[in-house]
Amino acid sequence: MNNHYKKLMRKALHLILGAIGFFLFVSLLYIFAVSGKKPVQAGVDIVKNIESQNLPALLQAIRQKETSEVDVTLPVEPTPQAPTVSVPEPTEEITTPAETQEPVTIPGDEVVPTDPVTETPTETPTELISTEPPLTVRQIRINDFKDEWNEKLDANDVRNLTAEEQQQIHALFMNTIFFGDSMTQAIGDYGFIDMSQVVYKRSASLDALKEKIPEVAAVFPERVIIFVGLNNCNYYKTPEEFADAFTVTVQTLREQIPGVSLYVSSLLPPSDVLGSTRADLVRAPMYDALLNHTANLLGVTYIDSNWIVRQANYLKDGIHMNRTFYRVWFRYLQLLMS
Amino acid sequence: MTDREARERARKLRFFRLLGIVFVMMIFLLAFLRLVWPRKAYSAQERRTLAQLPAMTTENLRNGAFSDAMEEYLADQFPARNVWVYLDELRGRIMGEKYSQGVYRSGSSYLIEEFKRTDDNRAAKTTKAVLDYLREYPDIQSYIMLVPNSSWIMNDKLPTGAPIDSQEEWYTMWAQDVKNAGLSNLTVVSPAAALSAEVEQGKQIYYRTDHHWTTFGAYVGARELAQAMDLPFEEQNWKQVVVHDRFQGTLMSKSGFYSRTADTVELYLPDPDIGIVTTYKEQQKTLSGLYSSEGLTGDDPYEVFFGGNYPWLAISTTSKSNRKLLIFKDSYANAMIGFLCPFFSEIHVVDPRYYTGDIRTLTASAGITDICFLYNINTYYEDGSLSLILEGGEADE
Repeated sequence: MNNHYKKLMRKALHLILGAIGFFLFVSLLYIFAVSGKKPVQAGVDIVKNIESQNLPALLQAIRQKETSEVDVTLPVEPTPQAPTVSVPEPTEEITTPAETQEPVTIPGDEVVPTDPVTETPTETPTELISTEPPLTVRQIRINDFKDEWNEKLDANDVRNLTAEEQQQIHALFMNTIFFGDSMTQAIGDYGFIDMSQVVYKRSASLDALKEKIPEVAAVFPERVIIFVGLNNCNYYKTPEEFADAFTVTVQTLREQIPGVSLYVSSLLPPSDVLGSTRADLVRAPMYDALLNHTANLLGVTYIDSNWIVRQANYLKDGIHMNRTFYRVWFRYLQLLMS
Repeated sequence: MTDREARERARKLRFFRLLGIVFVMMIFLLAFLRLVWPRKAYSAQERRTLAQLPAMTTENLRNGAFSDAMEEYLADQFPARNVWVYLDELRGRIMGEKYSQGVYRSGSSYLIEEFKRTDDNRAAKTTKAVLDYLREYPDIQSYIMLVPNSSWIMNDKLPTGAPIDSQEEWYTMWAQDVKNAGLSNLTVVSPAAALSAEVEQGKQIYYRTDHHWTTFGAYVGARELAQAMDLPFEEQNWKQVVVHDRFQGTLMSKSGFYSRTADTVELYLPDPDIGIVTTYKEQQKTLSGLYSSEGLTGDDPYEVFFGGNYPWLAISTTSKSNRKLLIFKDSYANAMIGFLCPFFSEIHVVDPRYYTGDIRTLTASAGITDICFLYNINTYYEDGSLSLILEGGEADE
């Protein structure tokens, strides 16, 4: 009997082995027939070759061609061009001027606090576009614009952008990235600009924004407009620290995006209500003044937007601005850049 | 006699015992294999994610969701699943099956996707949206090219009497409708005749196992389109490069009809070279060229073109042309865009299936001089997203 079972077991084993063998045979057939879908290595190399072309050079060739073609409609943006070439040099020099200024600005640190918020508009225009040889026609146009919109802001009569204006803005900023903290986020959130043109990090100081620079660089934009806010007054103990951080940001952006034109919008003050309770934030105008100065040294176009600020246009938090602010801000940008 | 009977009985008994043992062992063997077989998250063959072990909760136990999910999990994670699928396909081949999941197997190793006129209204709605949109831009030259699928051009390869609807019939009706709309700035480009002529010459227009057209097919299409667009297409030279010679496409994974005849994927590079930069707008990436090595080496080598489908691509070129093109497209266009690059300084490529922005703002702000709708008939007929983005909502703000 025992022997009989042994025989039986052996047969069963043979059968199972046979099944497994058949299975293996089919597997081999399958592997032969179906798998092994490898691309041609030479082809992969060709594609990789195309992928790894020198992007900045390509973009330059494309953009230069564009400007030479449409020369008439694209007027000069004087300041940023010249210094961009000598990127690493000026930064070394610039940190020093900023530092030498230390004694000058620090006394103001304690004295200036609350009032200048509303005063600044009248002072800053002279520095604003930092064009050493003033383009008078342009300046007049800018002044007219300000008069017009100051009036409208005061009368609380700032209309939404018309479809046409919206389109012009889209066209103007097609190759621009808006970069910053929640002040920049609002641009996309409010729908002025497609989110694809915005890179932001909320509640971030310039230090914290550093990690986002590669994202900006990945787009290789023609222009980057930096718009940051009060996080920096809180994070950096002195305006000089902030200015240094700004210098580093600008350097990094220029290193990673050769040929980029940089713009920076004012660091706006807090609302009067918030300002009265926050000694750190109320120093914003000093930070802003040094930002303006540093930007000029670095060849970054400083866009004064303090004049657009109205107490009525703050959100409840006393930091962020409502749509009204941005409506004027965008129209102003459009004027400056076209 | 009795001796023989007894032997016979013993033999039978042995056989049934053996049968029982093998049966039980098979069950245990499979159960054991199931336990130790590595779980897979994704099937490259079928191009889909596979079901995973569901979590048991009182909720899904009660409503039966658990057992459904379990069933799917067991089916998807069956040991050596691909081999079984292949075996089933072998069986189907032996049995002479010619149809599976909307795909026909032709005698000449081509898999052909069927065309079913399920809902003419949806396509009519798309067409109306297209015409309404174009009517808003009378100054922009516009073109629409619907590319026939293999079920039209390679009609004779279909199994005899295959119950599919005629694309040609639908297309003729559609073209008449568009003509009747009377838009003076719109040109309908019909590549069917040119494609058929190439097929008669023995050229390969479609991939055997994929629903896309070959790069040569796209070349023929581009030639037709360029003629309508008045581009100096004939003056341009192209360098042909084979980048993949074992391409097996989605129709194979969809139908389970394995075909050993693999295709080659070619690229046609402009000669002399021109500079091309592509910005993947929503992905916030700018890359050089139009091709993706990652796509080429991935599961679907057709993704060598752009690495797949993206909502909005902005392509700029070193072309001296002052024309700027806006393309609404499906994946067919991916293979063709390269042919248009030398003739436009900018090409904006919008895939309505993924695009969420405001198309009118884009049209007006990008300085567009030409608009082109580029679809294969199957997608144009089935996909409702084009009419959705063209009808548009309110502006964002």
